[in-house]
Amino acid sequence: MRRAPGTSRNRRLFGWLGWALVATALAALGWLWHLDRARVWQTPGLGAPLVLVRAATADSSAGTWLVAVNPDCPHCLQALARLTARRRDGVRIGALIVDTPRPPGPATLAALRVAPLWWDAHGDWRWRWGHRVYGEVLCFDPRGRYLRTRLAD
Amino acid sequence: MDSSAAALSARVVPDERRMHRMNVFLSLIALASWWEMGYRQGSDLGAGQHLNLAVAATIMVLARLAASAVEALAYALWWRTRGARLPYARFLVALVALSLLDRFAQSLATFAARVPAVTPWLAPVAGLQLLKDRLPGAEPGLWAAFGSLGLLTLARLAITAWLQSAGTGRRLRGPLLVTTLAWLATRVALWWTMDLLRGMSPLR
Repeated sequence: MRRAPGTSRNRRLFGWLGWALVATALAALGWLWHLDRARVWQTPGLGAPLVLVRAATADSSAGTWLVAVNPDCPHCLQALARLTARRRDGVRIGALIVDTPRPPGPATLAALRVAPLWWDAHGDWRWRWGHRVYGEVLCFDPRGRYLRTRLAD
Repeated sequence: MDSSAAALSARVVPDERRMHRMNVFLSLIALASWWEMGYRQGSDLGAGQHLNLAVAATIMVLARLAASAVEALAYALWWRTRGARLPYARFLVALVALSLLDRFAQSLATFAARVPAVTPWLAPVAGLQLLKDRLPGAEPGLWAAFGSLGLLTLARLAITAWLQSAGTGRRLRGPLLVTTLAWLATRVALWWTMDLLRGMSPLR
């Protein structure tokens, strides 16, 4: 059977349109990436607007390490458990509850037995500090000043 | 048609068939090899039940197969746009067979992890990611995207281009350019996506 003369041209046209869409999607991704990288994010810090749920006893710790934890994420809880098990001298291991709009309930508090325990009530970790990976460790000096963020393991 | 030309054209088809059969055989080996790797990695992560590990490894193989299918489809559609036909099924089988090169790179990386002294020698072949620990300053997104760059990756790109050239009857230069640009575009997309996913958080 012979094809209509315009069919092949139409197919090519749709093909080029498809590739133009792919190129546009790539350009949009690049634009998003540029916006994200060019944005000035706030430096993490302890204290307001974070809410202190459980305070640590006063001691001579050399600093505080907070594991970013979403209570619904089992990997975060495992990362916290591993870090607590390998307790480092002079460093206090705590947790920062993130991506949890409601105040942590009794079950969450029972699952997170570390101190200090902070709750990021307003989503600062994600929206103002620009952090996005659960289980990461935010390191602070004894005066609560941010030092760096490191991987859990 | 003289007798030598007739004999040549009679040989071309069996040669193509032979090559396709070999690709089918190699692609089966590749799939089995990826399955084995998925199973072993699952075992290393934690002691799971054999059935769960087998299912996870099968899903990994299916995902890899789907990725190859999409890659083959993209090239076939591209050449259709340019007015040439690339036989999809044969090209897909060849791409799956070609993934043995990636598997070989993975094996070299595993070997380098066990014997760090050989890492500088293996990195140009298996991929720059083997030097990641020695170059801590580079962006993690860049490592994720371009860490696999090495001689094996270059060979994979060249053979992918050659397969397109043979399938479409076009000269090698065009397919080589298309394959290189496609690889670069997907790597850059991966780099940007990784950066968007991690934000200011560190990556392994």
